[in-house]
Amino acid sequence: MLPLLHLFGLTIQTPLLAVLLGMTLGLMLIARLATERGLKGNELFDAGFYGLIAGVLGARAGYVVANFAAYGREPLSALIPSTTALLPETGWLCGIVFAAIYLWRKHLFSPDLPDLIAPGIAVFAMGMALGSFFSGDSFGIPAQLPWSIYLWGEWRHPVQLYEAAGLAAILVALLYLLRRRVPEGVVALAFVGLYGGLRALIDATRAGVPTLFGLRITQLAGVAAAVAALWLIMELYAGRTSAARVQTDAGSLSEAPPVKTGEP
Amino acid sequence: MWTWYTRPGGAAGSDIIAAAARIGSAAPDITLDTLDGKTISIAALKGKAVVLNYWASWCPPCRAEMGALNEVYRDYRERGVVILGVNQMEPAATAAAFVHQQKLQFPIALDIDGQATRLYRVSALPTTYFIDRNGVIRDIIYGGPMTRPLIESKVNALLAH
Repeated sequence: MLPLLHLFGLTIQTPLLAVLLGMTLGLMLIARLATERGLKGNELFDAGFYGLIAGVLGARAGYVVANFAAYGREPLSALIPSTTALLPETGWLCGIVFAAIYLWRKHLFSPDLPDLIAPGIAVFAMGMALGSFFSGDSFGIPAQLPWSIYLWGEWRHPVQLYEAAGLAAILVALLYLLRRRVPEGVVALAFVGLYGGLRALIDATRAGVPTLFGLRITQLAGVAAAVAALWLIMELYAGRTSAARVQTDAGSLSEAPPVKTGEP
Repeated sequence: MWTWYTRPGGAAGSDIIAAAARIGSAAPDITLDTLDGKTISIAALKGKAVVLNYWASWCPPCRAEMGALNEVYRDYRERGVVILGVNQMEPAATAAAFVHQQKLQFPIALDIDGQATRLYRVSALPTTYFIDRNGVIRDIIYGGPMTRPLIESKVNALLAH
């Protein structure tokens, strides 16, 4: 755990750094994959970047509005940057809405957009997992293993590192699928399914997760996401197979010799 | 099967978390001498909202936020809010001179040997912990200076818990 890093007289919040790094690298990957497919990668990067800025401003504005009783007397203090005076809900809302409007105005929506975004989200999630490792959040249950980490007074599973490593493997799988001719939507669904499976597996070693009927909610949600994604992938493949069959049948009909009708 | 076998408290282990200087955990107890010769502890402040501020007189952002902390203490002390400044390993005379110069009204504790600093894993100054009436840490602010509205918003959140 290393929440603060002192470098050249600066104090850097390592969790925030990891998240921002994950977000930037994720956006760069999306832009590169889009460019490889002949799409406007730079504009996709811009959509994410402007969405990030809108998200930060939205989170800050949301916090100030929610605490107007405190900020009303000194409204200028709302302009002072602070990483702890943010409202995540308004931040996510503003960021997503702004990025969506930008994509729509620039005509960047395409059927394979979710497939291109999925690997970028995997990289961003890796940044989040590493951020949790640095801050000591989302920590593991006690365990005496050669690779256990000492955190909060006990030796524990480094579940944040399990998650980051699992996401790295998922990223490799997604990039492999992107280079194969899979139906549109399969890569995005594969991310949902694989990440769901990963959480169902590793959250067995995560402490402090809320439970439902005695079972961890994140594990249950992970299993549900994996099953749903698998079912949808099978549907996509079934749809493509039947479409190909219809096309083949139509082709054989058009190529068939004209049926002779009875001639006098 | 896996989710059932690995359920909390099941075969794979327990989820019990001890007191720790992290958001969501019980605040570790510290007992320190104050500048006015009394003793103060986190355990004794249970039932009150506590703002635990680690500072030192040589630290510019610490100095910059003392006025805001003083104002919030003045306005919220009647509502059950305690601001406890913990001076990090300075001589009592140095801390006292600073308190006198800044006209601070809230209690100041002395962490002479740095034990409270180590227990709360303070690695930068100022660091401020917001502890609710049940003794649970609800927020941590690394660095500063904090503005009055920021402190007030965090204190209001503590009182709402």
